[in-house]
Amino acid sequence: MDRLLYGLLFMLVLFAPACLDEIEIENAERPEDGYVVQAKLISGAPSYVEVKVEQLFFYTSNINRPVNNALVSLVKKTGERYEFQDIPLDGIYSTYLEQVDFPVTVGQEYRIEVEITPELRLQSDWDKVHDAPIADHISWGFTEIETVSVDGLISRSPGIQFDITTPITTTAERARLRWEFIDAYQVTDNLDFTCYIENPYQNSKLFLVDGNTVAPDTIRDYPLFTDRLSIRHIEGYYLSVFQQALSPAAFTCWEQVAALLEREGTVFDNPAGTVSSNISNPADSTQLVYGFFSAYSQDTLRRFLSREEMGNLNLYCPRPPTNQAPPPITVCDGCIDALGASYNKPYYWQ
Amino acid sequence: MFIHLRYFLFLGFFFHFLVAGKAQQLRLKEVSINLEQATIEETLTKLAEQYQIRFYYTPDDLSAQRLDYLYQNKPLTNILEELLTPASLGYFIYRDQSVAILPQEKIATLTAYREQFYQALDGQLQRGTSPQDIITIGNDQPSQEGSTAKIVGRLADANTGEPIIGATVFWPELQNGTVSDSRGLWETNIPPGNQHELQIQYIGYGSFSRQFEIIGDGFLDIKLLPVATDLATVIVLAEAQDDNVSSTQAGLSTFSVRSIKDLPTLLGEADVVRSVLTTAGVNSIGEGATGFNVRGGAVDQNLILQGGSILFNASHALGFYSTINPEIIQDVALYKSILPAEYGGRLSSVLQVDMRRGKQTGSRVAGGLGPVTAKLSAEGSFAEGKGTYLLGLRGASANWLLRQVNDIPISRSEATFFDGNLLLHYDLTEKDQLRLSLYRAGDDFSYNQEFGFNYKTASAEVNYTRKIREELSSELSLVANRLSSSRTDLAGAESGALLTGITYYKLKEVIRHQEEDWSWTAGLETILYHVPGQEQTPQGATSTLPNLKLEDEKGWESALFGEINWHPWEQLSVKAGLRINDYQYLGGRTLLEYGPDGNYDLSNVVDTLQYASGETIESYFTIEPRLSLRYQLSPEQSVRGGYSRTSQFVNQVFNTDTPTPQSQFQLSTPYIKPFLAHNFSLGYFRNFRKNRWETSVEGFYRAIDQLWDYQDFAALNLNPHLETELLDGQGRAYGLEASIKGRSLRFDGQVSYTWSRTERQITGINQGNWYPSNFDQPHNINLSFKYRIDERQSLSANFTFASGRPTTAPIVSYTNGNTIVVPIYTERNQLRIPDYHRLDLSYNIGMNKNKEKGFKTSWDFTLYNVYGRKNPFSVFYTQRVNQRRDFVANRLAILGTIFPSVSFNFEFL
Repeated sequence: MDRLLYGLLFMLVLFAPACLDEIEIENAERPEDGYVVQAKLISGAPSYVEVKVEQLFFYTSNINRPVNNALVSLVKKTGERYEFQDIPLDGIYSTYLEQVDFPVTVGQEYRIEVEITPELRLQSDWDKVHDAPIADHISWGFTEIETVSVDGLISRSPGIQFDITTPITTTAERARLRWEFIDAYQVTDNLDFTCYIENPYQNSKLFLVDGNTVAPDTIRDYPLFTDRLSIRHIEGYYLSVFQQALSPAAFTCWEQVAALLEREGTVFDNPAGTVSSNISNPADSTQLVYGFFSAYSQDTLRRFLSREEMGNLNLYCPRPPTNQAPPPITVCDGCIDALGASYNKPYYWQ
Repeated sequence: MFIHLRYFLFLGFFFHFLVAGKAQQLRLKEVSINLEQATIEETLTKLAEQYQIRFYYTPDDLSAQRLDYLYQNKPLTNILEELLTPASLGYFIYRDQSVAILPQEKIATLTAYREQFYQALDGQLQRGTSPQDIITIGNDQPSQEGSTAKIVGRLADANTGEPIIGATVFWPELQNGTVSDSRGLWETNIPPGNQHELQIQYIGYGSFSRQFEIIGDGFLDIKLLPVATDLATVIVLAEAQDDNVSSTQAGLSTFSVRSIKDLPTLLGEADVVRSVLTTAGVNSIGEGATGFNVRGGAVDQNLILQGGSILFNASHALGFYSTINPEIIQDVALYKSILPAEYGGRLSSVLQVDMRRGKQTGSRVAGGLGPVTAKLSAEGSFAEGKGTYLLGLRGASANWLLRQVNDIPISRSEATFFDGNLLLHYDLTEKDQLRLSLYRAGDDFSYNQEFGFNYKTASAEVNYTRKIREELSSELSLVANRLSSSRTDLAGAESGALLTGITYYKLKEVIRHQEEDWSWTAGLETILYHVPGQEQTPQGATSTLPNLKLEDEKGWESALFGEINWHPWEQLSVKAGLRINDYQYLGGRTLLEYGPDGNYDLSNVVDTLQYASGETIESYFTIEPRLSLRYQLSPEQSVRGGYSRTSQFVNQVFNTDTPTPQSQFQLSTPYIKPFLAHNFSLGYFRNFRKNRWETSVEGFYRAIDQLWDYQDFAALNLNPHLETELLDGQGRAYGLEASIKGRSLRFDGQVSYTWSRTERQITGINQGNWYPSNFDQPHNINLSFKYRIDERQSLSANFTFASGRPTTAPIVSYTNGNTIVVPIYTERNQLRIPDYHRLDLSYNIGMNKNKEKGFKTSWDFTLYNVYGRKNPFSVFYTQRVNQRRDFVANRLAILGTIFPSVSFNFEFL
């Protein structure tokens, strides 16, 4: 009987879950030519427009070539046109537009046109600026983050959860929302310099809610994300939330990107596909063009977490000594060297 | 005073197929022969060789005297008279094809018996065996657990057909005997793997004695003649061993229960679908995938029938097991693309699972216990044997096992399933039989307290069979069936349940007429489908999901069918049929009306149309010819081909690699057309060594002239206008299947290989070019072997190989902002995941056999995936850490290790 029991226990050990590992797979044949045009127009005062143009397959499969010599225009359906004059950096054409120079308003339709060569002209579909609901507030709270290691072991660490309360409707319609975030934090280094480090929130996930698929008119304490407590939350932290109201086509595009990012290879995954684009070559429908032009309005909401609110956590700097030689360089050795660092407070900092 | 058939010598059956063509002139045939100092037997042998005439005679009857036989262009009948009359022998020409030689007095007494005699001879001739051969019973091992073969027989008077009651049936070597009952039926259990003599005796009738080689279960129909005629014969009605060659139906594969149980199991549970997958032309996309693909057909293009009940979900545990309990199966038939006329509604195949009747004598309780599964069956009779019952129950719970796993999400998961069958048969009269079949199956699964699935099937069938005349019978069945499933997200703002399912009511009447050389089948079938609209309900206080319910759908599919199976001459048999379908899509329903350009896009909607309940919104009428032809080149070889037109009006909608419980059902609508296909097959079949080796090569081609596929990122859930997510096109599948099957007393084996392609051409996908479908696996190899060490022990092995299936992979990417990397994928299904291969082994030992108490046990030890191959179910791509935008292929192996298991089975008789 014991042998049987041991046999069963042995089977238990072997009854491992599905396993995942890297493999080599044949390479797909690459097309010879293709372009990516990513463009956004944010309505405001001033409005902001940015167009990024890249050529695919020019160098390698994972390095794209910025296109810096294109003629880029923003066109309003009523006929006004703005042509970019400045020399772009890394294929990014951007500018702020004052309303008096080029009015960008809710309900109006816009598109972009990109002339890469006289023979190769790309243009987007018209995209309408939708009214963004005004978010009510951001709430936060301490939580516990559960992490499962590769070998299946679980660990828990303190974290912080951010939620949003916002109406989902505007006077005209239920909004299709996308949220983007910037977080900024204060850190004091070993030399007693205080820096303010501001970067887009590092997350490969997309934050989307289609107002047409939720029941209430206002979503309350809707979970945005959970973050592990870190250096960013010790001396003072700002979370800036940009609540964007997208057009149906733009929202669909982002939903498709999200579907690709969330693929795990399980039986429940939908097949991968080509993300829809509203940019094309009117003269050649076979031209490979990717990317999207989206015109939208957005509401900005910020939430400050003070050192006191976070419980006066121990300061990050100075770091305790390590056995490593040479000791790793950290933000404590000179906070100004960190990406996005400045000695000046962001304009919204209290 | 009896004549054993084994005393007949069988001569001249070579080039069998040529004989019939010349047989019409046998009575008038003129022959020449020149033999000096030859015996009559040598003369007959020479005639047989020279003119391909078959002679049957008892050697002892023939004189051994040697004479000169010199004939030139003399009628055969004259020669026979000259040869036989001096020895007081006579002859008769059997069907103008063969000559039987008997003593003259027996020729006279055989008149009344001749018809049975002809049948006996015919049975032997069709099997291509010599009458003196030992008859083999069963192609497989017995259907019940244990080591005995169940031999059921029927005794009847050869002249009158009346049952012989109280005859002694005895196996002298085994000291095992029984007595025939009031219907002439008897039943014994014989250890397989050896030859045994069967003796039957009854006062007033001639004794019967014959050697049988017992391989598996079988049925014997034995007709005894009164003492006066002194002749007994036997017809074995179990599956003819040369079915591989002689069967008319193209694309048919059959499976016995034993063949299903012989395969190594996964965690101790035998599985019907796993057996089906050993057949050439059948494949699956891997573990965790529901169903199977037949000749390039999608999973939902198979009609799975348990009795008369259509199973829309035949999978437990997301595809690891099928819902069909092997304990209640009589046999299983898979019709690959060439469907008999009585079946329809699916494009690719029919899997017909016939359920057996409970024991008519005595009772039986059997069960088994595996690591996660348990089963119990009970059977017996009531009402003095007029009624029988058969109950089969299975259940599985992996919860205790999952809780031991050293992986938190898995340990917090739960998985259970169950199924139960109850079959009641009742003989209302000798000619009327009633069957009630109840079936219930369900699955519950939850993962890490995050999400869960639940799906259940309930089915009831009433079947009434009447034998109107000896050759004419009627079968009426009524089925009600419901499948309901739900997916539940357990936490977060999107916690909720998504409910879907399908209900149908089916009525089918089949008339069958059976004559000696031909038979026909005719009937009607009507099915009313009710597809409840998908329903979403929020769960928990934090959920933001709204309550949603789509409109229900109804469809009515009816068919008239008829088919004739005809043998115009011995070599040729034809099975020709016609199925006429009428399908109606019914209201109440709200449909969109699109602009005249046929673009099903919400931007192209011109109106909204309301249809009243029961109103016909759209109807489709299809005529489906069905044809199978077999030409037998010789007793050992034949050519078989077939054609069938098939249509499908109900589909399972799933934009995943395999159907899941959240897959929904979609009826054909004005915008979602039914699938239509032409199916062709042609094959060469050859048996060797008295049918112990069966080989075949069969090609197939399917042209799907009406098909749809999903556009990229199709939104299927809670979409009231699914046509906006589908793209129309066509498909094709073609391939070559080769199979070798061998069996002996100790060894069974089968090797099959399939080369096939299945492709689609859809406007809007891959620029309208042909592309491989998700389950296109060009090479499939399957090897399965069983070796019986002795009566108690056996070893089984199964190896399977399949080409990697197509996938879509990223070739380049771009970033949005600094954090979002957007991959750009190839055109659909342009790459392949790695190949799949797996070896399974099992060892079975029967123990503790206690004949007196009728209790026996057996153990199954199985190693699944012996060499622990990490077969990829799928491949998906992630970015390599620290090398931004470089994609890495990740293999998801559902069962990436060896799975040993042991299961215990018991049986009370």
